Order: sequence, then C-alpha cells, then structure tokens
Amino acid sequence: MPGFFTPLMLSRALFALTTIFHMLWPLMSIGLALFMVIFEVLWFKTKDDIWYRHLRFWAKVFLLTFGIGVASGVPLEMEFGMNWARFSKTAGDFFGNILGFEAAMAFALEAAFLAIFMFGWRRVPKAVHLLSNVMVFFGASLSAFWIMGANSWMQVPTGVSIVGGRVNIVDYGKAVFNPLFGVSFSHMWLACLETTLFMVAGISARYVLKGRNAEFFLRSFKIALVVAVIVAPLQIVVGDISARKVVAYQPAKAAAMEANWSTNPPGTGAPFAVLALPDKEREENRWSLEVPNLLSFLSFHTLKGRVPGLRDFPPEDRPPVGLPFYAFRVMVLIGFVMLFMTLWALEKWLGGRLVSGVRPRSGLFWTAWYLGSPLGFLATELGWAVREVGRQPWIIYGLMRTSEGVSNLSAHAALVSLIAFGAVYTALFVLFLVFAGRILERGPDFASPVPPMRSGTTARAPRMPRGGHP
Amino acid sequence: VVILEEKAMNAPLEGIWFFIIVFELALYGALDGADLGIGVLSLFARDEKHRGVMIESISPLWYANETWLVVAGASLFGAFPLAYAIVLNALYIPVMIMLLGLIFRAVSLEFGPLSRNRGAWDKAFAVGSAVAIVGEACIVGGVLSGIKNDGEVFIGGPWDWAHPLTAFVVIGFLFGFTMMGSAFLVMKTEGATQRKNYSLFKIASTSAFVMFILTMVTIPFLHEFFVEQWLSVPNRYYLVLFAVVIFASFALLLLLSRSGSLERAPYVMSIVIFALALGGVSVGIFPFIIPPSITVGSAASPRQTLLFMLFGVGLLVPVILIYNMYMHGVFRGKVRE
Repeated sequence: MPGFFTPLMLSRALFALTTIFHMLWPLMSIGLALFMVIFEVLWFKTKDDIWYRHLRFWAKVFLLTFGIGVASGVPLEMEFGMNWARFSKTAGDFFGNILGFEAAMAFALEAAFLAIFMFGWRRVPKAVHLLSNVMVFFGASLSAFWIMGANSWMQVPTGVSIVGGRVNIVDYGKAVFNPLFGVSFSHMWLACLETTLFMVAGISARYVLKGRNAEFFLRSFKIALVVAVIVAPLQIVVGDISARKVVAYQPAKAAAMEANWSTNPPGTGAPFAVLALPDKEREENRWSLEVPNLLSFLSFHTLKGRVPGLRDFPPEDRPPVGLPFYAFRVMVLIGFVMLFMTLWALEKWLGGRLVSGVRPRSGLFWTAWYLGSPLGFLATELGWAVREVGRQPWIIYGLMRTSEGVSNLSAHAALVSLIAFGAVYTALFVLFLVFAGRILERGPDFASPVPPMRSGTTARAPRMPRGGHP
Repeated sequence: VVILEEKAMNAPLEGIWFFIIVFELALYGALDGADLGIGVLSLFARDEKHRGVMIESISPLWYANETWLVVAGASLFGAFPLAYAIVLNALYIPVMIMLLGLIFRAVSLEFGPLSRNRGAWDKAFAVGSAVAIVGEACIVGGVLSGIKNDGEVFIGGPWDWAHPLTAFVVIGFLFGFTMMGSAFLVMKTEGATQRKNYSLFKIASTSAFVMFILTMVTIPFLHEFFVEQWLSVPNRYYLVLFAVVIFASFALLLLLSRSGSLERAPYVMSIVIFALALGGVSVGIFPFIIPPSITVGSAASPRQTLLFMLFGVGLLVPVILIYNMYMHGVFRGKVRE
C-alpha cells in the first residue's frame, strides 16, 4: 500500500496511536482521583483506618497511571507542531491558546499537588493533605475540560473566521463555548468516572471471587456501585444529547455513524440500521437490518424527522463509514451493558445478597463484573474513533482539510517515529500490566503504621520519606 | 495597513510574551534541568545506596518540574503559533529524541520501585535523562544555527539541525544540567555523596561555562546579522556589561563553592548563571524568535489572543510558582539513606 507511506497517512497513524495510548491514563486518573477524595473524606469523618488502607491501595495504582499519563501526554502537545505544522500555524491563535490554559491552569496544579498528596503523608497537616487530594481531582477534571474545549472547537469551529491563512477569533466566548463543548466535556468526564468505577469494581470482584481480602474489597465495590448508580444512567442520557448535537452540527458524521446513505423523503421516517454492510462505491448498504422510523426518532425525538443521508454530501466531503458505524454501535451497546450490570448489582444489594461469603451461588455475578473491568476503556476508545474518524476529511470541520494541515516531513522520519512509538508504547502497556498486576498481587497493606494526621495548617519539616514510593 | 497597525500595537505584548516564555524555560532548566542532570550523575554513583539517595531526592518533584516544559510549549503554541509550527516541524528528530528520553526517565522512576530488577531501571533512568538532555540541546542548537523557512513553513531537510554549533550546545547542556544536578545534590545530601558532588560540581560548572562562551563566540560567525546588531551602539556596551556580569557571577560561583560550608550556594549560583546565560542569548536574538528570519512580530498571534492568554496563562505563572514553592518547601531537608 504505497498510499499509506505518505507523511500525511503516517502522521495520522502516529496521532491515532499516541492518542489511543494516552487516553487510557486520564481515563483512570480522573476516576481514581475521585475515589481517593471519597476515601480520604470517609477516613477523616469516620476515623476508621480501613478507609486509609483503601486510600493507599488505590493511590498506588493511581501513581503508576499518572506517571505514564504525563510521559505519553507531552508527545501529543509536541506532535501538533511536529506533524501538523500547517494546522498549528493556522489554528494556533485559538488552539494553542486553549492548550496553554490546560497546561497552566490544570496540569501544573495537578502535578504539584499530587506530589504533596503522594509523598507528603507525614509532612503536612490533615487539611492541607485533603486539599491536595481535592486539587488533584480538580486539576485532572479541569485538564479534561480544556482539552475537550480545544477538540470540540475542531468539531464545530464557531466564533472564528480564516483571514490570510490564519484563524482569526471573532468571538472568544462562541469559540470556547461552542455548541458541542458542554455536552462533549460531560460525556468524556462521565466516561472517565464510569471507566474507573468498572475497573475498580472489576478488580474488587476478582478479590471477592478468590476469597482474598473479600470484606475489604466488598467495600471498594460498594463505593463504586453507589457512584455507578448515578453515572451509568446519566451517561446514556448525555450520550443521547451528544449524538443529537452531532446530527445538528456535523450531519455528514452523523450519516456515517448510522450508515445512512439517503435522506428520508418528507412524510416518512428514517430507518435505523442495527447492522449493515456499507458499500462506498455503490453509495448504499449491501444489506442491513433495519428498524423503521427509529433513526428519525433518535435524531430528533420525532417519528418523521428529516435525517440527511451521505449522498447529500459530495464524495470528497464524506468521512469513512464502516469504522464510525460499528464503533458507535459497540460503544452504545457497552453503555447499556454497564447500565444493566449496575442494576443487577443494585438489585442484589437491595435484596441483601451483596455479601462476600456466598461464592458458589454468586460466582457468575462476580465473574461478570471481573470481566467487565475493561469495558469502559473499550467504549471510550471507540467513542473517540467515531468522533475523530467521523470528522474526516476535515481537521477543522468545514474550514481546513486534514491533508492541508500536515507538516513538511520526510516519510522516513514519520515512519521511524511511528515504529519507535509503536514499540515503546507496546512495551509500556505490557510493563504497566505486569507492575499493576504486582500491586494487585501484593494486595492492600494492613501492617504499615497509619500516619498521625494533625489538624492545623502549618507544615512541619521532617526528613524525606524513605523507600521511594509510599 | 490594518495588519501593520495591529502589529505595531502588539509590540509590547509580543515582547512580554517572548520573555514570559524565556522565564518559563529558565524555570524548566533550573528545576527539571537538575532532575535530568541527576539522572546523568547517577551513572557515576559509587553504589546502589548512593544512587538510591540521588533518585530519592527528585522522585516527588520531577513531574511538577516537567510541567514547566509543557507550560512553555503551550505558551509558545498560543502566543507564537508560526514559530511553534516551524521549529517543531524542522526539529522533528531532536524533539522525538527528547520525547523518548523523557518517557524513559518517567517510566523508569515509576517502574523501578516496583521492579525486582531495580538496577536495570536505574540505568534506564540515567540513559533516559541523558537522551532527553541531548534532545533538548539539539533543539536549542537547531534554532540557533538557523531554520530554513519561507516565512510560512519549514522548507529545509530533516537533518539541518546537525550543525557544528549544535555539537557545542549538546556538550554545554550535558555539563550545564549536570552542574544543576550536582548543585542540587550538594544541597539535598550529606556525607560522601555530598562531597563527591562538590567535586563533580566544579568540573561540570567550569566545563559548562567554557562551552557557553564558545557557543556565544560562534553565533556571530554563523549569522552576520548579529555582528551588526551586537556591535552597534549602544548594544556593544550592554554586551561588555553582560560579559562582565556573567564572568563575575562565575567567579563568585567558584568562590562560594570552594568553602564547602555553604550548601545552598552552588545551586543558587547555578540558577543565576543559567538564567543569565539564557537571558543573555534571548536578549541577544530578540526581536527574532527564529534567528535570523522570523521575528516575534511576524510569528505572534493577534493582540486579542495575546491579551487573553496574558490573563489565562501569564498571570498564572506567579501563582504556579507560589504553590510549587510551597510544594518544594514541604520536601525541604536532607535525603538520607
């Protein structure tokens, strides 16, 4: 495939690889940061040291994800200049500005307070420690806020005009708070929480299954469940709003997501294809399994809403169809599976059957939850594939094509970097699994002394902590 | 005409942003520079125990320190998008080297304590740090040796940065960051580790200083433009003044670190020298951001963006500094085995 070995395609592959990999870590760090806030508050409120043990156990996993998150996030910022110089030159006025907000308001905050939270146990008073914990959660969330702001603007570039080859901001408010921003940030933020909830619950289920520290992990599981009861249904509602925004603002993407080739004539409803085999050449689906009127209903909440089909757009403005279509379906399916699992667990809990001791009878339940731990990661990555592939062929929707954004690069340099990052990230992923596996294998630590947390606000200056990680 | 007027109105803002970014880079060099330098120094540690102390001294601090690189990068992206695009495009290979080095540094610090083979990860930490320094130095060397562009995009080849000047800068950076690292260790350790770092500090700082002077002397030979700019009146007097100040600071650094009783002096003086060197070069090339072709004026975002960013990023820099100082204060004191 000589077509693939061009700077453009290799740069796209590099960005896809590095974002897919980077996405894994914020997905865990935002959710785990919330868990840690909950645990620390519970510990201070109840004065029960078991919550301290929870806090320290999950903090170890958190630290591991944070390090890789930082290491894999810096390349993304640089890639905009390295591989997408023409895009950066054109859009930097707005896009670079927003990334600046992310770095200065969010990332810096998270990194500094994480140090105090992770390594400052015996060095700062209670209030400062809790504040650092909250700041880590706040900083991580604010990071997502600005990144979603930058990305949403690439999807719906409101508030700007292009003057002399550069984006000129006409209305700052409209550019930052573009129509997609609120719902996209909410969808992503909830995805971070939901992914972590299922990961924590899945790991806890594994311990319960094995009968190891079962009481301890039943607590983690229940905390995850309490949050999931709110997050899982809410995410489906927000997902619905998000999809309808796509129909309204990115109709070509919406058509690709649904493999919808032809616009429904007035007075009829557009059918929803549950499964289909899209054919780009023939501009139709070779076969499909359809539910009448459902697409009109999903798009506009009316039975006869007019949904534009792909044939309404010139071929050069159409995104690929197969990937967005299937990725979208699997993502939605996972969302409902997660809701179902949450309800299942809730029903068990309310029935007083969510206990650690009855292994044989609830083996299926715990196994399902254990196997569910990667679901959120999968759903989020697929959702991003829909969002980014569906935006093609545009880098800034309707304003600048992806092919116009690429740097002056040699295909060799791009290929070598793609291979290097592919190898390094694969190794990192495997190593992460190995080392996270070790943390889980070791299990929670009940032996080390609980630090005496002091009230007041003054720091004391003892020696550095020993032994590297706490 | 309208664009020209806007450019003129922008002038002070562009200057402010140029020096905000220089300030962010100075902080990065002073803080993460020490972390990376300690990585290189850990290659020379006498044994596992000493290496452990060295790594311990930075393990809570490195990610907050690396923040400054991200903040400086994003500031450049937002304030001078044209420069960001041309520099990163042209220096694809050095940036890639830096990124891979930083990744290795980061993950070996994370994985090391969990590993059964700590020694190998400590080596990866040292190598990663050294590679990151080389990458960063090649970026600086690449910018100083000139980047081919047509005022809009990079038009050179992928290896243009591999210039003799870049070799000077690489050696200078390796010694300069090692100077930072050894000075930091003098402050944070005691006993044998501290003594060893005193002597390493003297070698590193002297070598770094020599390399800096060599680089500065070479630049005018590369870009004749600077001969004119630097030797014009009154710039030539400032140049002399700068030379006097930096030589005096270096003499003071040697003097203060001789006694062995002033534990903070080497680090403080290293930061002063580093800031002077970076500040000197920046003032020297200003108003160019990519010498000698792209000025801050032609690379800058419109006034509105620069202003907006001044509130959203620029004014936050002191706030970030304050909570980072608190954080560094929490971890003050000696690291013990």
